[in-house]
Amino acid sequence: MNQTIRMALAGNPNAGKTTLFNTLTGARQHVGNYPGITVEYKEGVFTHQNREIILTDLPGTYSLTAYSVEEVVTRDYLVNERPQVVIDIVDASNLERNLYLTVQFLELGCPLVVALNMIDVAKDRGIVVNPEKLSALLGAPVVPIIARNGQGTQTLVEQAISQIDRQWHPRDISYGEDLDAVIMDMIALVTNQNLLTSTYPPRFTAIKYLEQDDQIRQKGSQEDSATASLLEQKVTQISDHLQKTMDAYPEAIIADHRYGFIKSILRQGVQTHNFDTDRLYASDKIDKVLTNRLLGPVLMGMILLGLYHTTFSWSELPVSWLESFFGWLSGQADSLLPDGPIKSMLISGVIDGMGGVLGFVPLIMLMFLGIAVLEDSGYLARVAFMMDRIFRVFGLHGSSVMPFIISGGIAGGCAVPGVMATRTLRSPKERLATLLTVPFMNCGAKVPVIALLIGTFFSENKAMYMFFFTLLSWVVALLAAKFLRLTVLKGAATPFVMELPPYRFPTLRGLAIHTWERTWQYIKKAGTVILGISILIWAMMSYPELPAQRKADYERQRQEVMAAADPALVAESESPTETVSEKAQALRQQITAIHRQESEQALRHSMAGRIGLAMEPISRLAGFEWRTNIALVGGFAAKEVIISTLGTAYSMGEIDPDDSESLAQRLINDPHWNQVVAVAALVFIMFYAPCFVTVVCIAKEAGHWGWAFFSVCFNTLLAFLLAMAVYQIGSRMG
Amino acid sequence: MWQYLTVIVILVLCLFLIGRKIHRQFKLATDTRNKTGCGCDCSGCSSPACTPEHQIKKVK
Repeated sequence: MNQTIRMALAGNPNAGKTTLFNTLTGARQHVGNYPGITVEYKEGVFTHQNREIILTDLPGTYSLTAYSVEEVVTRDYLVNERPQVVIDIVDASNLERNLYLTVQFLELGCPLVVALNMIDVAKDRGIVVNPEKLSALLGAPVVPIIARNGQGTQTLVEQAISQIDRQWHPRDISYGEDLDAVIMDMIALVTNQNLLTSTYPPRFTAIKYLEQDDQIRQKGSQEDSATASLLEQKVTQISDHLQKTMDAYPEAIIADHRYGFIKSILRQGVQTHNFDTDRLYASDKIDKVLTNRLLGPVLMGMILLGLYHTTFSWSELPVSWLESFFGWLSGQADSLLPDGPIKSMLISGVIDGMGGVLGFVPLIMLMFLGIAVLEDSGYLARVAFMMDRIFRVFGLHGSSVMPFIISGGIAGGCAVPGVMATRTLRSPKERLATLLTVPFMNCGAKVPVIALLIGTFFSENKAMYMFFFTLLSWVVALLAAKFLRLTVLKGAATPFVMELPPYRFPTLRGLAIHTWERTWQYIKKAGTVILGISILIWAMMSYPELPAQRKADYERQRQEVMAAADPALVAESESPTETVSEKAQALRQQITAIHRQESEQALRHSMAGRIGLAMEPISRLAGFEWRTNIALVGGFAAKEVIISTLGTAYSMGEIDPDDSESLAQRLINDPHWNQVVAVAALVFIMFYAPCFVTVVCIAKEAGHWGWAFFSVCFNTLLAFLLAMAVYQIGSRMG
Repeated sequence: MWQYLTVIVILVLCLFLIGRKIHRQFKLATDTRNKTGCGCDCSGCSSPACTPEHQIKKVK
């Protein structure tokens, strides 16, 4: 193996960086047809012609000025890590806007290769790009590619390798007479005083000062406050001058000249339009209907309802097959294994605990398939676009919509990437309000719990209830955000511009990969973490055992009942036949009642039982009995644990070994559960403390453990108050 | 007795594995320089940061 080459992959959001990254490295990073997928950089390794290449996928960014976290991450990586070559991926169908970042790479001077992506989309739109001409004018190789199918990517890698020995060479762009003069002064000052010269080219530093780049100004002040102060003075002078003479700030003039530079390149035969440029593209035509102010939300509701209806109706049969399979497995284990703790652990802990979670695999799979279709087609970005109008009313930023959707806004996401996706927000207060409310969405772990309770207690209108609870999650999240924005996170709203990617036909392969990967993650988690937790919770529900004296008491009660009965009747009641005389049946019921009492007392005596019982005086206000409490406490580790714990708890209370009914049937038969309790439980589960990993992520992203603690307390209190209101009002209404 | 011993061994193993998992998740989620992510293993987690390094294949 020859030398290792370090390459960086950069470009605008939704230009196809992650797709190209996956194509080159063979990785399966998540790709979505919406901006903001990559919030921190990641690395992959591949080999080309016996050379190991380390490829870093940087967050999507429109500029190299420190306006947002992505821009800071990208720029810091480039200047600190100094990759040997930067692959700048540009969308050929949006060339003008994409080249704005390219111009800044040229100004930074890093060795550059331009990957002209989506040439097929550009062609469909009647746009023809001349890569040779573009390359000559930019002074960097330009390679046309289609990242989705790998076309041109090998040439791209070869061209990138050819650039690795090139020195960093910043390119000068004229910003007009006034700015050029002051830039020259500033360059001289920066060079003489060696201000940040080890990291940035002097011209780049000067331009960033003019663009009011907070990070560069801060670094400059820290390194040499006197020089930094002189630079600030120059910026103030020129800003005043430009304000008087042109009514503009330096930033605006710099942006104008960059676009002027780009336009001059494009006009030199680089880009030609075969169609009338005013022609409405197919995406725009579809958007006229799907994002219509009135029709759009109605269609969005219908699409979501259709998704839930399809998911529930198509998964019903396979879910029942899996239930029967686990019931059969439980029966087999019961008949084959000798009585004792291992049998109890296998049946109650493993099969009924983990099996309850695995039973929802078909439903989860279909849900993920539907979401993958919406995501890959570009419809999710439209949902975000439509929700933006509503979000502003509740004091949130338009960029908050995507973190909500990623967290499970349509169901089936995850709050962890949702919390991380809030990095796209520039206002710290809007960001905090978003990251504290995204856990209210119905993530992939909550979906099986919601599906279980809806399927059990509202089996007639499952899709409608799922739709209702999805809407409820949005309403509560937005109201909580409004509350936070009016109290602890007061502040002005910032403007937002959203990019709508074109609609694309999802590929079968893409859908299959997305669906299978998420489903496999679900199965894997059920078979590892959830299995482990189920076994531990089984142990907590089994030990300490009832004292020998109390066991003996129950045994004595059974003996007394048997002794009082006719021996023939006892023999009949103990026979395996189901149809027995009424008297024998009554005897069976007496014995069963004693067994049930013993099982329940054993559960109450266990460690988990004591915890659940200790919480009962308060949880009763929301209609939760002690077994539900144990499940809810377990749900803090991962929400799927709620199902496995309920499965174990209700399985251990079961005393008829031949009765292998499903958890849903056990809940229906339990006197503590009814429709009102189910809705209260659903409300509590949807809104109480986020899972452990999300809490840690909130602490990390908010920069303080206090916010993580606040999230746990605020969410749990809010969830409990809502659940209590539901239960108290529902019970009184009958 | 052998049943109790087996159960104890399984419980210790579960405690060890869950403890290690929590420790790893905690480390990953709090490490600001981490490039491979939260490791939450959630089915809906589309985070690019949630792909363990070993899953990034070497090709060719």
